[in-house]
This record gives sequence, C-alpha cells and structure tokens, in this order.
Amino acid sequence: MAKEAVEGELNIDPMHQFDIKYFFDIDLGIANIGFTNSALFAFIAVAAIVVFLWSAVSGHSLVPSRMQSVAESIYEFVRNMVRDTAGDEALKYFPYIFTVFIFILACNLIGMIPYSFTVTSHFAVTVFLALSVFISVTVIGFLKHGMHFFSFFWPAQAPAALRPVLCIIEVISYLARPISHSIRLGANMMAGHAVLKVIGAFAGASALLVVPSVLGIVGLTALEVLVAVLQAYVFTILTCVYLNDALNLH
Amino acid sequence: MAAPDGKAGETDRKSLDELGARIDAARQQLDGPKREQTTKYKTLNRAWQMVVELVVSVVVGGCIGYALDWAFGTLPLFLVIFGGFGFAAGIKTILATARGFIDEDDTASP
Repeated sequence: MAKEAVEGELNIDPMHQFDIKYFFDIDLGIANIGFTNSALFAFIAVAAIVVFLWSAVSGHSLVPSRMQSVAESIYEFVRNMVRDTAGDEALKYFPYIFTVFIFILACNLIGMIPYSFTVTSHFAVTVFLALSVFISVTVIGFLKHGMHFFSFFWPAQAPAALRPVLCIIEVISYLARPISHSIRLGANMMAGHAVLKVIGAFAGASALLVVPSVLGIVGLTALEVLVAVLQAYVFTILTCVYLNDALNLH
Repeated sequence: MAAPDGKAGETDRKSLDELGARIDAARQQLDGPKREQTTKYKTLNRAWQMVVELVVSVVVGGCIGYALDWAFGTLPLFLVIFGGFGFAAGIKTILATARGFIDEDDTASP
C-alpha cells in the first residue's frame, strides 16, 4: 500500500524554490529592473549585516560581549586570510574582500531559513561577484605592473619552443578563473537546496518514508550550514589567491 | 561588562590574561574531533573544485577555438586544437590547486 502511494503521489519539484518572482515591474525595454524576491533577500542580507555589525561594535568594550567577539573573530579571520595569502600589500584591499565574504556568508545563511530565498544559488549573482573580482584584480595587476603584467602569461623558464603554446594555456586558464570561481559557489548552493527539497518530497510521498527523510533533512541541513560557511570561505580565499597573483606575479 | 579605563586598567589586564588562558584551554579541548569532521567535507569540496576547474578550462578553450573557427571559417580545426589547449590548461590548474592543498595540509598539521 505504501509502495503504491510512492508511485502515485511522489511530486518532486526541487527547482521551484529558485523561481524569480517580480513584485513589480520596471520595464526599460532592454531589461526589466523590477523588484524581485532575489533583490529582496539581497537587501535583507545587507540589512542583517549592517544591524549585526552595528550592534556588535556599538558597545566597543575591551572585554568583548558575545556579539562583539563574533564580529571581531570574523574581522580577524578575514584579515589574517588576506595577509597570509596575498601579503601585507594586499591589506589595502581588505575592505572589499571583507565585504564580499560577509555578503556571501549572509546570503548563504539566510538561504538556510525555510521559505527564504538563496540569492547566491543564482548564477547571475555569483557570476557578477566573480566577474567583479576578476576585473578588479586584472585592473590592479595592470595598475601595479603596467605592461609588465603580461609577463604573468609568459613562462620565461620554459624551453623557447614551448613558450607560445604555454602562453596560450596560461591565458585560457586565466580566463577560466571567473567561471570556475562563480560555478563553485552557485552550484554548491543550488545543489544543496535542491537535494533538501527532493528528500523533503519523499516524506510527503509515503508514511513509511517520513522518519528517514526527516532525519535525512536534519543531517543535510547541518551539512548545508557547513557548506554555506565553507563556500563563502572558499570564494574569499580564491579572491585572495587571484589578488596575490596580480600583486606578486607568481 | 568591561571596567572603564583608568585605575581599573590593572584588573582589566589580569582578567584578559585569564580569559586568554581559558580560551586556549577550551580550544585545545575542541580541536581534535572538530578538525577530523571538517577535513571530511574539505576533501569532498576539493575533489569538486578540481573537476570544475578541468571542465571549465576545456570549455573556455573550446569557446576560443570555436570563435577563431567562426572568424576564419575553418570549423573543426581550431576547436580541436584549443580544446586540447584547454585540457592542458585544466591539468595545469589542477596541479597548481593540488600543490596548494599539499602546502595547506603541511601548515595545518602540527
């Protein structure tokens, strides 16, 4: 009997949660810049960051309160990451990297709340983040080294005959960076949420599956929280690695 | 919670040192099992990262090749060549990533 119910009622629509809904339209002809649920949750994430950091540092005591020590640990964590990966010189770009980190972290974690929307599960968002890192890092490289930045693509130690081929390979791997950078974050978030939805659909399909699937969801949710933090970290550390390449050219 | 600056500075210093010692002790207690758990997912994440890097490199190479073919009207030629270059670039990126992981593990483990 239970088996029949699975056949009949299994109704999985894991991608429905990623639908973009317009609250109102502003159609400019080339694009619709109306307010969407994605934009709403991006604003919520930013508001949450502002409220959190503001309230955390408003007390500014020597022995920090809980909130303040969380904020201080995040700050210190990112700062150490920037310095260890890209050197002291990169510290002037720390505000940007911290902004990227905390925005992704907030979006990922807010996405873990049921019925909310995960902004970073959309490639439009992650590609934008990765491209802005890619473009700014490239501009920083050119500003610092001028035309000498091209030596980054020219493997001077390699045998002369191989150099042009290796140069093409270097350029391809440089151009591939923003893509793999953005796919990693977007696909991780999307896949995790889709899996949660699929497991959740099992519970609705049959009474026999309710207990295992609820247990599964609990475990997966814990894993997803870990992934949410880890992916924010991975995105940020890769930003630091790219920045290091631009500043120090190998 | 904190005493105001000035004459209470001495007590602050003392309580800070105490707090530091307590944090260190707690950290040592927590570090063992926690580290083991995170490495499991870190490994998964690394495998996934390398796969993405390889595939993306091949696709980017293929796109450049296809664009050149489109410009010169030599369809399969550059697509194949640059697909190969893309594969090589992917292998190069993966090797660099793996080297990074090895360094990371060396510094992480005491």
